[in-house]
Amino acid sequence: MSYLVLARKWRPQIFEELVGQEHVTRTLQNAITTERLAHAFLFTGPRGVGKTSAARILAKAVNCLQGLTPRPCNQCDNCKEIANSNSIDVLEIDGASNTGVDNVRELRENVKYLPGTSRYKIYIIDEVHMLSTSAFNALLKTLEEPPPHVIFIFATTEPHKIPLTILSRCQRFDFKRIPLTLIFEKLKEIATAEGVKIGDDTLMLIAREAEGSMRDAQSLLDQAVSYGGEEVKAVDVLALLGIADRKVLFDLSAAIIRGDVKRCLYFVDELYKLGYDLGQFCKDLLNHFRNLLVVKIEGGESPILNVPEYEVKDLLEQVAGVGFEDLHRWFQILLKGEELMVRTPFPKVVLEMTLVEMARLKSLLPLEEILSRVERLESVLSQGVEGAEGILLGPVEEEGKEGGQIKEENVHYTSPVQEKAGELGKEALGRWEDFLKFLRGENPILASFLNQGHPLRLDDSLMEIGFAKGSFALDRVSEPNTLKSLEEASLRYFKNEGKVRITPIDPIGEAKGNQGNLAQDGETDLARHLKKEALDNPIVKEAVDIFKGRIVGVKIKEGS
Amino acid sequence: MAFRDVVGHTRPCQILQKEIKTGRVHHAYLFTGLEGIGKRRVALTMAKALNCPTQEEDACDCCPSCQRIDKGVHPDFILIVPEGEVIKIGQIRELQRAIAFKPYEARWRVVVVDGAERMTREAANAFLKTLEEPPPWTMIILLATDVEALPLTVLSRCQRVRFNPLRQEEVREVLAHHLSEEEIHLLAPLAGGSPGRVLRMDREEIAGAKRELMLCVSSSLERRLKLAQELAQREGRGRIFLEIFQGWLRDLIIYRETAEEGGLLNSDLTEEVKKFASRMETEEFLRDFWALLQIQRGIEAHSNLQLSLESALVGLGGA
Repeated sequence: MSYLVLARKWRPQIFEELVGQEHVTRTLQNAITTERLAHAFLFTGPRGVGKTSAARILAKAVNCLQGLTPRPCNQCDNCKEIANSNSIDVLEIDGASNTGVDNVRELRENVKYLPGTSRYKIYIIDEVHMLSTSAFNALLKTLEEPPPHVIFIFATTEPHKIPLTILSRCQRFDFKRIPLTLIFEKLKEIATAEGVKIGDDTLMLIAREAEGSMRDAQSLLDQAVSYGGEEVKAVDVLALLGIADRKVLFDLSAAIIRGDVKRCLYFVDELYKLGYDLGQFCKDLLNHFRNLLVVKIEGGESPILNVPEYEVKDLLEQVAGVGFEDLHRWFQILLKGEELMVRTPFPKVVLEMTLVEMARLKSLLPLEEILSRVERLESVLSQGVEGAEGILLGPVEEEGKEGGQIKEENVHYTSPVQEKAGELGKEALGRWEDFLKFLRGENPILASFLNQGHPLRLDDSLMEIGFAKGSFALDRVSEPNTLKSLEEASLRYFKNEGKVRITPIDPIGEAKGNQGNLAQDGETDLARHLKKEALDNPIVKEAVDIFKGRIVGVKIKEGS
Repeated sequence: MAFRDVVGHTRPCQILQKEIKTGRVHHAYLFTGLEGIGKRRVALTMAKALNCPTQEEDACDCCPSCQRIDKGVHPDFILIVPEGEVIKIGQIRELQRAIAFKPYEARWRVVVVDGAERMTREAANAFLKTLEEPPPWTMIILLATDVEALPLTVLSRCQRVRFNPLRQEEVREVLAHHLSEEEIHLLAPLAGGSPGRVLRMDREEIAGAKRELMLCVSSSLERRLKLAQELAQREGRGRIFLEIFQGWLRDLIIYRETAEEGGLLNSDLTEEVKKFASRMETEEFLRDFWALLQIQRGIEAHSNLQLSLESALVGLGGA
């Protein structure tokens, strides 16, 4: 006989050896003990968790020469024959190869004959989800009321493909993925029995890679043993799986957090040269960022973390000072990259670009901080009465139009220009306003940013504009490109060689400044009259009524 | 070809040879790696090595057994390739009948399924039982490029052997048997670690595509649209062009970020890369790069080639 791989050699032979499926084995054993055995079973679950093994054990348990037993002897002829798949009464049928209705008809022909040497005639149909619809339907009657000496056992990984009519005629058992620790223990048992020296951490590595499937774990162990010989080291397994060392993952994520693009690219190059599977590496990195996210949200104690303790410390160190939003965005970029890597002929290029994008990501403010800033701003504004509410001018414009009298204009009550009226002369202010208007035609985007700024100085030699510290507008306007176009515009408009200076200012102090008196100061009798007229307009009133709204401000059209 | 002649792939060969040596040969292997990287060669070598009467862990390449496997006339060496687009269930059934009996003469009967990810769902499912417990002295080697396309149930029944992209020197070494020095210089960077890819490429086409790209980045929108139309009409042309385009964007980004010339794919375009790299921000190049990848995927899915190409070329942005 050729070499028997571990997964076959260690196929469970009694219920007790079936790891991680106590809910199934106990039910089956009790059913046998109390002689309340169903005539049709359906075993479902992911690959490599013991469905076929359970079916064979069940077959042995009912056909063992010892009699119906929850613990088959594995000694008698019947047990041996079943284990070797050559029992004449236990028919293991490959459902995926015998899919047609003719196969089922043949089966139905044979069902009526009594078993040869055993109590029951057992049909194990593996991969049963592949039967055709007509094959399933042809089976229905037999399945509902088979002859008393027949037991059907179906096994499949895809229960959703099985018709409901079949499902309702079977006792269904859902096999679960096997927990990590149980796989680990089983592997350890096998390693000891096979005389293989292998460290616990290495076994853990294999167990984790198997993702809940015992057969995958055993296949990997097999491969590790043939690769590493009698003594298997962690590096062998890492090499075998194409997994990079954890340290590389940590170093790389640190480089991303630092924003060190060069270092990231260097890592890709090294991994590539060492012959790592970059697709696999990307998956590992994705998992690493998942772990970082979990640690960030749940802390190091989280039960869903699945990493050794000594790594938790490193994870915690790494996420300290990194925002959840940033981690999440990195994760998403990586996820996109990983998806695109699968099909491209140039995985290295895609990984490089993914990492460049990640490392260049500018950090976001945490949501809480933004919220608290908004709250602060709100509280400040709420003190500023009328003018402050002008921020919500949007809907009012609509009403103004309906009224047919008051239309949009350029002067906002809250316009930062006027807030600073006290500091800057009226004349300068007018020039600033005109400049903004000019800019709106030239470069509307820039103009909208400037609108958020406060002119601090405006004369022939210098235009100084203040922006709230940390504001987006400040960042944008301070960019060399933007600054340059601003200078060009000012040159074109003012026709002088004036310099432009951007100054960060304290947002709260500024906002508090002049808002209170602003409404009165800026308002003339005419304005008051126009506003009253607008508010009294029946169409406006009706609009307010229809929308259940309120009027937060009125703008005055120029020249009216 | 024997194990000792295989360029690169040290680890896969090492694993296989060790398993032959220790007698722990698995009954089902899955070789995964890029197209044209040498999986089939190694599978063939494995078949020869298992059966070679003169050598222990390798093939001698001169005995009748080795030679017949090489020529594909050995009765116990079975190669299955897609019939048309896919591997059908009929092929698997036929195989199952063929391997039900003992091998005719070989120690090991070896079945190689090339393009295993192209098995139909029915074929893959019908294969499961055989993969898990094949008849004695039968070994199955699946070759797959796209592992994700294989059902997990198949994956879990095989021992996976990963074939990684070859290093640049190794690609050059393999190519040296087939191409001139000059062609290697032009093509090796495009291999992405797979010499087979390069050998299947049309050299003229690549040189042409590079010229077109250079023309394209420095000319008007109108000219670009015209090129898109031309490309779409010449079947298959757009694909090569886009790959070169992708490499070009990658080079621009890498050069912007590292300012080093050594790592560029298109070493013949170094001067141009230096010139264009400063025209846009890295983020803008990146955006173009991702858009391009999406378009390449679209081409795979048989979407309108001309539209895709137009949008790619117009999206050349500031460059």
